[in-house]
Amino acid sequence: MGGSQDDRLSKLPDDILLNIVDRLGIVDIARTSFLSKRWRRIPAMLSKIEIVVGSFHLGQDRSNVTSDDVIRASSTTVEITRRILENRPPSIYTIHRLSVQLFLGDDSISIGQTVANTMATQKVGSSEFTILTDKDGRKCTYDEVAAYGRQLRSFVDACPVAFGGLTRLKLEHLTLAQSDFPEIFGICKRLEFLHLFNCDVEISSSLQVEHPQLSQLEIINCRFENGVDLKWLPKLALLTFKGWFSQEDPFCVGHAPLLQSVSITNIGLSYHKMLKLSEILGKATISDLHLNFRCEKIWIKPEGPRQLWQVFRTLKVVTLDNISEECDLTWTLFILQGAPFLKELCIQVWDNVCDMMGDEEERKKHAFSEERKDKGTEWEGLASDFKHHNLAVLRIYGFQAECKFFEFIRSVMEAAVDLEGIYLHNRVLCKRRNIMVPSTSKYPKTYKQKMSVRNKIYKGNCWMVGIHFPG
Amino acid sequence: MATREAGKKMIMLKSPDGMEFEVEEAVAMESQTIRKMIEDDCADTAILIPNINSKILSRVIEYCNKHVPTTGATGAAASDTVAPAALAEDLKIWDAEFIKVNRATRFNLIQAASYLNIKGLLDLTSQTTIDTISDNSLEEIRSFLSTKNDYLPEEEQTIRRENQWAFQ
Repeated sequence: MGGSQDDRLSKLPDDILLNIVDRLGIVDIARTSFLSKRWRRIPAMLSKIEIVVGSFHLGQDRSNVTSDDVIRASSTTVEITRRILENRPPSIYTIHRLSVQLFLGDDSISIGQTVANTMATQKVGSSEFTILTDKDGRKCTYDEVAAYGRQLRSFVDACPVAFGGLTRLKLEHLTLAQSDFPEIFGICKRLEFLHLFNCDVEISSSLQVEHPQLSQLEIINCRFENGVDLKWLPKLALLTFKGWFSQEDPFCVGHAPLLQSVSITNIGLSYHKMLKLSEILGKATISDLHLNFRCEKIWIKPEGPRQLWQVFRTLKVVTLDNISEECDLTWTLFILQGAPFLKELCIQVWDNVCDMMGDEEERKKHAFSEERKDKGTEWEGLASDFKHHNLAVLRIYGFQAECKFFEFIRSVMEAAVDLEGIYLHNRVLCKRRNIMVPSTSKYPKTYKQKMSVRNKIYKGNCWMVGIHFPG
Repeated sequence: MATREAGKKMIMLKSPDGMEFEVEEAVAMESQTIRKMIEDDCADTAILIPNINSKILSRVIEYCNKHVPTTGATGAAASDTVAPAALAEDLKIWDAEFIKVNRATRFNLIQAASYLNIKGLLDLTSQTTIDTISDNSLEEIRSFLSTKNDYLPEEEQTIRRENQWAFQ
């Protein structure tokens, strides 16, 4: 009786329904499975399952979140995980990517068991847990974060199959007992990606990381007092380290022969030590280095080429982000001298006032340094006959028509014989808004101003290097 | 037959109800399915497009004509005279007009976009369906999609009881 008009969408082939369902959030996907028996089969064909309920995410400020919100999101996560995963007939469609975001608590174990069953009966490629705490750990007492730590530990122990199959794990706000991390790493034997946010081990201990599979490690605002020892990570390729409280080296790299890319970000406070790359990166040999100073004190100590040889000998790209405008730039040339195969040097100079702490009292309270921000970067400078044969591009974001820029650029030009182009940008990347914003009024805008900048850099010499002003 | 007209290579598309459409090769190649046929050299005579009637096929060609990168013989302005952002805005308005069709036509367009593998058209035609699923109760979605609830009353009751969250 229905006629040709009825149920037309449901007559579409499975792959089209799947294409539509694929663009929905997981809650809506789960709801469509109640529409009819036909729709019920569709989620079982999904190859990418991302279970995220509500607008929670790792590291967010959770002060406006009530415990009711968490309880509701948590129980919905349980229902949806069951609905989506338990109805899948075994082993027809591969799940290429399975990720579940869940709150640490009474519900976690049941989610872990559902995921474990799925891993046992289906082909699962990458699988991820993002484990959130109900409260923002930055506003918790020591006992509370320690309790989160114990909860995680019992969750892992209750679901060894799920954790044993995980390839990606993200954790926040946990203080674990000394022996917990090594044991958890032992259980999570397939882990390739680990993200730790505001985590810690019990008083005065360090974190030691040894893992045969781990290739990407992100350690953000963690409090490991005696640092992180990246002892044995034969597959580690990418390391991101942001924000530390330790007065000593925040981390040191042991055996990590595949380490390629290292990104370090910190607001340098008065108690922070000046880091030596040769010491923290140890025996690693990297190709990509990113350092972000967040417009505060420089925390890198320039070193000579001999010390840096091991770490820098295949280095290709270096990015130095958010160097405060009050800093001199000459010290950065130690990188050029130490890295014979450097191809591109990119520097961003900017005082990002919307991000910086301005109030003097507050600065004192939070141990911001009162000294010049480039204090401790003193360096003997490039040897007068030093030549670099590989640098092709120098890029400066937040360029200003000022003496220190002219001198810096001239030093690079004099040393780098194969330099192909210099790009002087006005804009800087505002991370908060993730857009490029114009930074300074001292940027040459007219043809005449640009010529004058060129002349000041060339200083009457005849150079083959093009200076560009992309704006 | 592939013919030449004003230097542009033309392609003949045939619908199963016997209509023929001569289109520029570049326009036809907006469809990944047809692109593959052309690249594999299976297209020197007219290409028969199965399952897509002439009414729908002509709409699909209309869409491709509009979305083929400009400077073509489509009458659209060349991209160096109009800012890309303005062009994109213009396309958006055009798309919104284009998709004002009845439900049956939209489902046919979804099917055609899927068979011919035209990503932009598939996105456009599916979007209303996606919005409906996100914003409405299950009953409203069923009615919009003309989907019959084929659960038995007792099954339906169990589902409702056990999955309160889905019916909010």
